[in-house]
Amino acid sequence: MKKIVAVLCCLMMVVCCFGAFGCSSRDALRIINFRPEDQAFYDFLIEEFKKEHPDLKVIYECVSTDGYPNLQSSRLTANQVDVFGTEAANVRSVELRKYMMPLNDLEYSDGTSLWDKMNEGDVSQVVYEGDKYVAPLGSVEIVVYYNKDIMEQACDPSDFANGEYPTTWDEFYSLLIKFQTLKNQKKIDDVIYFGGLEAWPISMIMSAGEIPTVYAVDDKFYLKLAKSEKGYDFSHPLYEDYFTKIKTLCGFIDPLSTGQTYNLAPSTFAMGNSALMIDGTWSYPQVMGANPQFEPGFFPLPLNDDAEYNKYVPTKSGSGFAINKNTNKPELAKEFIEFHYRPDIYQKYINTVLTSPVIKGVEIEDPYGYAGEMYQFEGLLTMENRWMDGIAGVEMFRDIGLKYITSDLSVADSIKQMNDILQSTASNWQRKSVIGMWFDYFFPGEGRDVWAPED
Amino acid sequence: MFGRRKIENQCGVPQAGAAAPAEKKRRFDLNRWQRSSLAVKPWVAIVGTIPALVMIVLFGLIPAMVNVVVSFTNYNGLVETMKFVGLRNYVEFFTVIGRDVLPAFWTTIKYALITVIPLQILAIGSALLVNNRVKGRNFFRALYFMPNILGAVVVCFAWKLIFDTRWGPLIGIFRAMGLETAFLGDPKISLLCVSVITLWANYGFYMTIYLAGLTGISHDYYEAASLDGASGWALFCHITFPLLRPSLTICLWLAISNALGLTDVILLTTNGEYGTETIGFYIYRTVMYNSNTQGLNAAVTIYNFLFVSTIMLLFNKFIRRKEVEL
Repeated sequence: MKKIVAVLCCLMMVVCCFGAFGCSSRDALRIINFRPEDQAFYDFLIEEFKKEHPDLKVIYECVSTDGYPNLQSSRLTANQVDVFGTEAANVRSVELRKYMMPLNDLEYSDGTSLWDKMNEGDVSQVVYEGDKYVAPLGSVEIVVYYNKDIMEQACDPSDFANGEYPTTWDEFYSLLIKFQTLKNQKKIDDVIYFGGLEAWPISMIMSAGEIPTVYAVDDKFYLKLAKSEKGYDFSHPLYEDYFTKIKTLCGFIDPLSTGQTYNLAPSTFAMGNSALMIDGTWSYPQVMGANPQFEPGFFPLPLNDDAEYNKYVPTKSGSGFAINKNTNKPELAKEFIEFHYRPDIYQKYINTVLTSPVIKGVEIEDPYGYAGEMYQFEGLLTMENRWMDGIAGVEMFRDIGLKYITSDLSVADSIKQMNDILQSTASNWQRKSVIGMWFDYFFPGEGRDVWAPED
Repeated sequence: MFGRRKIENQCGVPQAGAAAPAEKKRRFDLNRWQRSSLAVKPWVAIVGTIPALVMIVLFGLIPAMVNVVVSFTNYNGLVETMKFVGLRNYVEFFTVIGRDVLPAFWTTIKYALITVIPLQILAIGSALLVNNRVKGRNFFRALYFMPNILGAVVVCFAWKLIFDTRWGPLIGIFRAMGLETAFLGDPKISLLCVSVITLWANYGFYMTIYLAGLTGISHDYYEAASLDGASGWALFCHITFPLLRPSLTICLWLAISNALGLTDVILLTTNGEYGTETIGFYIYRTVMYNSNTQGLNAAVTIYNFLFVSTIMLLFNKFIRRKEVEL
């Protein structure tokens, strides 16, 4: 009897070990996502979806953005997910794309192709070698938020060329000086509020500054850099100007701000004691939710002396959904994504998340009233989204930005650091496949003009 | 152990004339135990260990072996393009990524130096306190152990708020003393702040090990030493601490190996910035976010394995020598 009990216990243990690998969820539609602040909308969406599929079980898991890559990686590797949230930029990641199913045949509610209903700029971000892999839901931008009350304390906005906000570097620098005076008089707490503990928020500032000083001026700069054309490295005058102005800007950021957590940044800014905040439009709901009476203004970061280049903001697809290539429910997964784009559902999504719509003709119905002002600017793809796998240097921008805030790193040393990294990692990125991939992505249809050595 | 027991008086002398009680049938008679119980059957032992062995092989040994193989390839996420590259990754460790990796090793050593010893001091001190027979000592034992059961996410979240330079309580105290620092965001002291977090979260665990060690020390030693006039510090130095050596060995071993592999607290607080990137975090970051160089990442893990093994072997050698001396 004891033998039988012992053997049964051992067998049960073995079965439990292997049987616990999600077999109970195999019949459910498994979805993972980030941005827990959108949970309320997805609870609604899933309830509506289940009305059309009463017998269907839907498992929706959402974790914070920071922890999401771990969840995504483990679920995809274990084939424990059907639909997963992802950013458009991940289309260019070899590691993730191998798990993505092409979504070329997604349909809109009127039976036409969903892709025809989307803005071309948003579609282009999710295409790789002719196939579309991610269904984008909205696009986001990085803007300078400003406190209108503090702006009026510091200066008369009619002094600016456009009558509202600074559009050149000289105007912006003068404004920063005035804000600094207010701070010295203890009338405000911060010139530029920055929650830098997690370090990544500096990337927003670096990205917002790179557009007007480098990319808007010469959109082929990085291609020339990749082809090692003479004079095209990080000591180019465009980059020197960029680093100089970013360093000046970072001088107005409190060094103690690197000890402030980013999660509290929008609500702290909404308290009204900070003049500026450089952040993504995704923080707008949090700002207004923290203080509905707050009156924010927005403008692109004007780091160029020429106003013509200062009208752009960095933009990228905020988030979207992809389907696991190995799912056993491809049709259901597609149906879920198509359901997300139904006019009433998608409008509710846009109104909840307050992100810029990707579907033509959809407008944000913003209860706070400032979204139209926030999304009025022309967008260019963010630096990080233009940076191909294997090309050195994106992490260094973040390190340099943080050192501009916390130490005395000089512009010359920054340039040297970037060039050293570029040279030391040349074997990774100076490959025909990488440069060619980049060329095709940014200049589709122009024909390759690739010189790089063979792989 | 299982033989008959004579009737003895308290001094151990058998009493004459005392009738021995009828021999009871022992529940655990050796012969019957051998005949019918499963406990000593070899096949039962083997079957019982199979699940654990399977887990170790599947999730420990096989991934480690695959990692070694990958370190000799140019694996970038696509098996189709993977090819053998010999020792190229091991050479590139120094030529390409030495700039990032070597500082990470040095940060790991610095972190171990500022954490391991204070952790033992704190744990021993707490164990000595809660070992006293005072009212409520069980409550304090539980209180000191509680940070250990909160989990890294809760602990790090709480300490990020404590260290926050806008809303945290610490910045106010520092400003009152005329000091200002960004704590976790200040490269000069961020590693120290991380150390404070791990000290607070883990000392309870080590306290329980020392407590077990203290409980095993006979009071006769203290009585004898007290008779000789020893008290307080002398008792600790000459009796308590030497007899805690086995617990100290275990705790040091655990603390050093945990310190050398620190990743979770770094991930949850500074994300490897401000001079806190340890080798464990570096490996995590490159594996998660740099999929193009998985072969090189695998080589880095092998170097890390050699690094940690060397330190632990040196530690073992040092400790054994000390135990022999004792």
